[in-house]
Amino acid sequence: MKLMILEPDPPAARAWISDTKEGWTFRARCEPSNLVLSGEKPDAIAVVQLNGGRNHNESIAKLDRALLAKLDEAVPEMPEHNGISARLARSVLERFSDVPAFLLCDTALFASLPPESANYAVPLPYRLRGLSRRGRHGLDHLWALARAREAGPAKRVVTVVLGPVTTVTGFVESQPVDTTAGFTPIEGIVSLHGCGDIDPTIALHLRAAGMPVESINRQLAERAGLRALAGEAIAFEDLFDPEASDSISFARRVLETQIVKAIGAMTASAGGADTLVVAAGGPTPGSQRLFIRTILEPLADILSLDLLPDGEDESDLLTTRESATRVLFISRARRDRLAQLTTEALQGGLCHV
Amino acid sequence: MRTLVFNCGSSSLNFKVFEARAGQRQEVVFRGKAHRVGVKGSEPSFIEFHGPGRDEEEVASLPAHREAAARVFSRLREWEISFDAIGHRFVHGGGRFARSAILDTKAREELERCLGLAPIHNPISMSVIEEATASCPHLPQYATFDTAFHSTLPPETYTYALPRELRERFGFRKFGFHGLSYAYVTRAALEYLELEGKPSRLAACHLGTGGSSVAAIRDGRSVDTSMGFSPLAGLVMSTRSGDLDPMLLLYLMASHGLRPEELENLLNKKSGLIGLSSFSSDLRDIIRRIHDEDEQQAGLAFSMYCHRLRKFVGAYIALLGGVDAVVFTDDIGVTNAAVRSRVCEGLGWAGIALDEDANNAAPHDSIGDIGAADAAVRVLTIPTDEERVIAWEGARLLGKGEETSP
Repeated sequence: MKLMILEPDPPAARAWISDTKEGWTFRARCEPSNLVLSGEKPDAIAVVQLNGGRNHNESIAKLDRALLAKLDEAVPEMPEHNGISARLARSVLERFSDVPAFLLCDTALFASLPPESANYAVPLPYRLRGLSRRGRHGLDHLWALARAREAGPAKRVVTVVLGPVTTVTGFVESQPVDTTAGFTPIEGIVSLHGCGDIDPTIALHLRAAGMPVESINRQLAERAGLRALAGEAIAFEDLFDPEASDSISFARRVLETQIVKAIGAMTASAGGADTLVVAAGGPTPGSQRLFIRTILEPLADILSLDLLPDGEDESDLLTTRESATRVLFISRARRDRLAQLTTEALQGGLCHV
Repeated sequence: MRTLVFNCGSSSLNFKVFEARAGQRQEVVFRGKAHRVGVKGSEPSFIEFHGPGRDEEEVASLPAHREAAARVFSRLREWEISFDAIGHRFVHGGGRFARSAILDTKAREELERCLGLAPIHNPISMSVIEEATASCPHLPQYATFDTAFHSTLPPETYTYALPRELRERFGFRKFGFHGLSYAYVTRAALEYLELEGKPSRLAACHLGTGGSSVAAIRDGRSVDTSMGFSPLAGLVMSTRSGDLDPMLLLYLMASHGLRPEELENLLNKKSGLIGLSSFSSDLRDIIRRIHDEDEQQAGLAFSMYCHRLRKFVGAYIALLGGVDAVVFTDDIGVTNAAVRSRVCEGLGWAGIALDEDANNAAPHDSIGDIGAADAAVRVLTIPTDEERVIAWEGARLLGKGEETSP
């Protein structure tokens, strides 16, 4: 099976080819309106859309001409990225009309959040203008949910997508009930560059002090986060270095504290958790596994975790199968998760969530 | 020793005179409240006075808190009600006051620098201090701070992940509020649960008719709280939005042309329950109209209020690794069984379950123990008493007290 995954990477796009025999190859950065493919045609193609807006609620949808209008509608939500996704989709339909193609939308999962978690407590006219929680990493959470269901009964599930941007989502009966990311991915847990949850009035203080909106945006979204706490330009993996400096260790403690609280908040939203899935990626799964074990310590009593001893948790499962809450730690690159979702859609029908 | 205690609300002024005797609990010997201070409208302003043989209401012009305080001093003098010290509540002590302080010259200068931190509350407390100085120039005065209880927050919860230069230049960090209330209910809960001096973990919810917050309290010390640099952050409140994506504010400024002062007004005065329901900031009105077909937003307002609160309680249970008790206090916390019921119904996984009969019958003037008998976690309603904490602090600061704060 050969899959092609196309992701926006402004100002161009990235194309990845997955071959079950050869693994992944990074195809190339490509011009979205001019897709050229050498060699064999893929068996399926997936185009990634980062923000589908309020109304697109299919995480994985068959890509056809009818969907193009929805893609165009969503461009203003995230103009730079969504414009590229729309152009990619058109190119795919024009050049590969005989190949099954899918649109993978990263926010569609959260279009069905219940009103009490989707809304902000602002007057109705602002809510009608679309100021609501959009979430982030919907495809990764959907993938993690599927792994929870494979592992056993999964009525109430909490999924953690750990990475430079970390998000946590609660599910009941496979429906998302809340998530940490908000109108933008900046809200929620501190990220590598983004401030995460802060007192909203801080933005007003900065503006009142004369800082232009664009500068505030840069300060909160690009110059903040774990790097600001560490005081240096670190990579996400540096947080887990046992020899890390005090300031990097402090940044890790802040992240750890916020993830623990987010798991508690999402467990409360879901009314409990029979499965907790942590989806990690990147080059240091071993270190991240240790980090997750630290996070699980304060949760062990309240979630009745029957943790396997360190070193005996070689599989994805960190707890015994009898644990009241099972914990799965799965390290897969995002493109692997997207490929698996695409393959499942191709083989088993579309996944509507 | 007798202490006169002032507690300023935005349009009210509570006052109580406490008397401390050796080895005994401080008793209130006189109390009262000025209503509708600085409020223009058809209803008149008035002050109520209650003491031995005296229950009076006096209609008076009260254009500001200083005038209300002046009237209180005048009546206490007329009725020969004496006191030895005067204590005040200050909402925001910023990074300058981690504890209560005697108001000497240096402390007053520092206090002046805190006025802008809480522009609604701090200046009115300062005006009462000025009136007390004018009326009783020889008496010691001291200030207590709502932020002081949260001075024990660890760096990983009080630090915002902002560039260091912004944190240092503007003093951005989580301060937290309602500290006097948390100090009172923590002490009351630990006494009631017989956990004084023992390891303890509480999730305390201060749910007022104006502002509301939650605190995670380990061994009597605050380790996290929902309000932040300002009292806007955290829960959905009567007219305040609570938490929202900070980028949303930038979006509204850039795309809709809203100015910072307009946004501040929108998020502080027109959001929260009033913004969600479109008809009332009073949770009781909203609950009454949840099933009214003409008021579809009422259900959303109630659901969001409870959902946000449940999330914070869940987060703090996780942070603390479990809790001994969940405490509900202040007006809504003590009187509103529907809120407690809705919040706790999602927390069974943490060992929390209500005895609904006890919940519905919770007393308004004493501790209610409303958890199910077989639940692992206790659930308490505790009427708060901020003025008593101010009195405790006075006894501690002035070294004359027999009953002091923990």
